[in-house]
Amino acid sequence: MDCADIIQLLSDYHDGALDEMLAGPVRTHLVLCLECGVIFNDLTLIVTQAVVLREGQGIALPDENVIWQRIGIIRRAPSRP
Amino acid sequence: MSVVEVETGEPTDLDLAQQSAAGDVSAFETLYRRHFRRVYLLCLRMLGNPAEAEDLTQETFTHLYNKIGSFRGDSAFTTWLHRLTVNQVLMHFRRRKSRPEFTTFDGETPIQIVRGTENPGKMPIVDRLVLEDAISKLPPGYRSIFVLHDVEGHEHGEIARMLGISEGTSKSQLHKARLKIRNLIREQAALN
Repeated sequence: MDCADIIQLLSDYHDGALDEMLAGPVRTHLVLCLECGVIFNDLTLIVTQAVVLREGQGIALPDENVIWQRIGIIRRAPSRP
Repeated sequence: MSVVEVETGEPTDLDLAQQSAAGDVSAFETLYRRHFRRVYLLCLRMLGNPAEAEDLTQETFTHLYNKIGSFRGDSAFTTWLHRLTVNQVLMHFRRRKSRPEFTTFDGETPIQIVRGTENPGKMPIVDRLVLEDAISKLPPGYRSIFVLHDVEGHEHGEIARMLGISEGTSKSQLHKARLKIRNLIREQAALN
């Protein structure tokens, strides 16, 4: 497999979704090829940081009172069956 | 019922959903305030735009109010609400005619690998802001799958069911999304 083939497998390799028949050659290639190794490290960094985003630390939230008013449930509630 | 809810005596989501379905607005408001943050953040991630995320959050809770009677507690309320939110965002994509490119791979500009020849060993620092910015620049389809998989932690099978695509498509789009994010981050770093 050349670099282009390896790059196409990097996400599956990272996620542990490759069987050993494919994972082995990818693992070996990443040791030998600096450029593909850099790409794999970058993807790993991105995936690791994405997990941190889940909790939304530091994200400015809109005013929930304003959106509650916009929803207008109170106004519509009397007509609910 | 969670351990925390037992210890604090707070009503469960199922309790609140049932009370809401019976017309108890204060119960629905409690549900709203309990889940507002999570719904907004999911909308923001998938849409990449705070104003649209606010609108979709409003639409999602309006839809939730109308559908709340159909929640039977078969799954966790958070799971049910999560799916409902994702569906609202996907409907929004369809309405604005910017359907995610799940089936139009052939028309995509191929992602060029930025090999960083100026310094191949160094990736710009990927902090929260840098990644948020790159995610917001992804095409909607890539963004949806990246957010659902890498941020929200869904499996490809779940994503495939939610989005009406194959697992293979989900995997392929995720890989392209990750490479696109890498390129966006490197391109942005080169400009700075």
